[in-house]
Amino acid sequence: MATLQQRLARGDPGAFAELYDACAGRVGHYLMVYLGSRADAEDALQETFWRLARNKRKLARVDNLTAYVFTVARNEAARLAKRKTRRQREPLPLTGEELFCEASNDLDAELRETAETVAVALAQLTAELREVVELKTYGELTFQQISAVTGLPQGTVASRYRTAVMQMQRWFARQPR
Amino acid sequence: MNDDLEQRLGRLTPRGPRAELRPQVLAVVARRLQANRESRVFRRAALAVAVSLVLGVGLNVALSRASDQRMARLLGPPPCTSGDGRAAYAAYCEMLQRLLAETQPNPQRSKTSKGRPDFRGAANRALDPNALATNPTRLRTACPISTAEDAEDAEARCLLV
Repeated sequence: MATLQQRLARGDPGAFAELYDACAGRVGHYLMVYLGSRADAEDALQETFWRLARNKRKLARVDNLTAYVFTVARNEAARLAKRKTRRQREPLPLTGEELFCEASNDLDAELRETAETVAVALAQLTAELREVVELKTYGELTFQQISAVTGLPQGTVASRYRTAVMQMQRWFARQPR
Repeated sequence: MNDDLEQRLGRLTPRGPRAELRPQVLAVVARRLQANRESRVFRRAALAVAVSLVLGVGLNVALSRASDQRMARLLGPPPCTSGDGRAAYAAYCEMLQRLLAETQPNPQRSKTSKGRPDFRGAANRALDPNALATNPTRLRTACPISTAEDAEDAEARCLLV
């Protein structure tokens, strides 16, 4: 039986639906954090899948499909961000409700608060550190995959992740309970 | 402490794109895949046109060669080239010089008995072989031929004179 990558390379629409179901949630969240806007993230996600369909033959030769999808999404986001920065200023930081499902959970107040504080803590980080945390925690990528996506050495990715975690811990420690 | 933070982050579910986006994205993908298929058909058609064009040119060349060969078999060899013409011209000039040397005019009969100028004698003087041999420009003017056929015509004319 043909693998998902082979079906994608053949241009099977069902395979693209499968890929969307497997990655769109994580990629969409990453794009939202990267671009700071839900609307832009959705545009970039659409562009990502359009580009994947256009270069479908490459998908058969890709070593790690998830990392490849994130790489294409990152390139699309960078392109979109470049276009946007010419026209407008830095976007406002995302709220907990935009980033996490738990922020709109009326039943669990603690989870709702956690979602809000994590969103603020993420907003305190620099864009580079935030990207690594996002890819590791919510993109569920390994350091090796993050290295492939960002083009940074694996050691740099790991050290950025440690720095980000330390900064967030410090930030959480400063917050009143 | 690290684990504590990671647990805290891990407890949260990232909010993905809107559910309505899925059919939109998949429709865009389907359109793109369809366009890929169409462009493939177009590329194949363009290739077929290019191949038939090349084939047409090749067949045309082959047919014209075959036709030339058939004509050569029927009508003999084709007309001589410019190189052949030059060789024929040189041979003709040599022959002309020989002929003129044999029919050297008598200097005492430069005028006719009736006192009229002897144009035949003047023409012979103009074609004096010694002068022609030493002056190629004059020779060329005297014998304006370039091909073997011209040479044959000129020879025939000369013999008539």
